[in-house]
Amino acid sequence: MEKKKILKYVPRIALILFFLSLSFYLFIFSSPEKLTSFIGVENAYALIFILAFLGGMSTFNGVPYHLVLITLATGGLDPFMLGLSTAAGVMLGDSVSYYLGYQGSAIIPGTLNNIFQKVRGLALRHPKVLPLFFFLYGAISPFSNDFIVISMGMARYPYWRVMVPLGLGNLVFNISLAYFATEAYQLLEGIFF
Amino acid sequence: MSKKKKIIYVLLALLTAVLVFHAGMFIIGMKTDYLERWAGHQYFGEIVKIDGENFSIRNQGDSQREVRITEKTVFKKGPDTVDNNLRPGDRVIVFGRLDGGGKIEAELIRIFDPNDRTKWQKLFLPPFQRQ
Repeated sequence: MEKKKILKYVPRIALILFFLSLSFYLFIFSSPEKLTSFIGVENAYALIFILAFLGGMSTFNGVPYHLVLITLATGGLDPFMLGLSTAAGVMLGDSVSYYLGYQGSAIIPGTLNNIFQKVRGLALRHPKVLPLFFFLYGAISPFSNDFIVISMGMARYPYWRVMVPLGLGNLVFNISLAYFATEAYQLLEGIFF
Repeated sequence: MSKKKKIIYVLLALLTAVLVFHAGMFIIGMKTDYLERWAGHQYFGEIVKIDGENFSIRNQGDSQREVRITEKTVFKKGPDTVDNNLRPGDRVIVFGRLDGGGKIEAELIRIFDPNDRTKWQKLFLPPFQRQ
C-alpha cells in the first residue's frame, strides 16, 4: 500500500526535479551567446520569444531575457512587437511553472497545503483583489513571476485568473522596457562596466 | 483579524519573499560572473558599411559600432553555421568583447531575416493591425 503511494508520486517528483535541475543548469552555464547560437532561428522576435519562454519556464531567473530584450530594442526592432513576443514567451513558460506548482500541491506537507487552501478560499471570496495585484506585479516588477505562479498553482487557484492579469501586466512591462531600452541600456552599462 | 487584513498580510508576505529572494540572487549574480555574462558583450543593429574584415552596425539612436571579424568568428543563420557573406542592410546580433580601440571583436554573429517583423506580426496581430 505504502509502496503504491510512493510510486504514485514518483513521476511528479521527477518532473519537479527535472525543471529544478534545468534551472540550475541554465543559471550556472547559460549565456546569451550560447543560447543564441543554440536556438536556430532567423527571426529576432522568435529569438526573444524562445528566450522569454526559457526564462519563464526555468525557476527563478535562470535566463534573464530582459537584458537581451534591451539589446534588441536598442538595435532598432519594433518595441511593441518585441514586448508582445516577450510577454507571450514568458506567459507560456510561466504556465509550465504553474503546472509544476499544481502538481507539487499533491506532495507538499499537509500543514503547508492547509495554508495554501486558506489563501485560495480567501482569494476566491474577494475575486478582484488578487487579479489586480497580479496585474500590478506584472506591470511594475522586473522580478520573476515564479513566486506568484508556483504558489497559485499549489493553492490550485484558477489558471486563467492568474495568467490573464499577470500576462497583461507583463505586456505593459515589456513594451515599456522596449520603448525605454536606450535609457535602460545606459543604466546597465553604468552598473556593469 | 479581519479578512481584508489577512489578504494584505498574505500579499505582503509574498512580496517580501520575492524581494528577499531576488536581493539574494542579485548578490550572487554580482559575485559570480552570471550577470556580467548576460548583461554585456552583445550588440544588435543593421549593417551599414563593410570594409574588409571590419563592418559597422547602426542602432536605434543612429550611433554606430565597428565590428572586427577574426578567424575565430562564427556566423550563424537559422540553424546553420554559414560562411561570411554579410551584406549592408543585414540585421545581426554580435557577441564579442570590445578591443582596446573600441571595436567589437566578434565571436559569434547571428544573421536575422530582414522581413522578420512582417512574418512575426502574422502570428500575433489581427489582420487590421498588420503593417
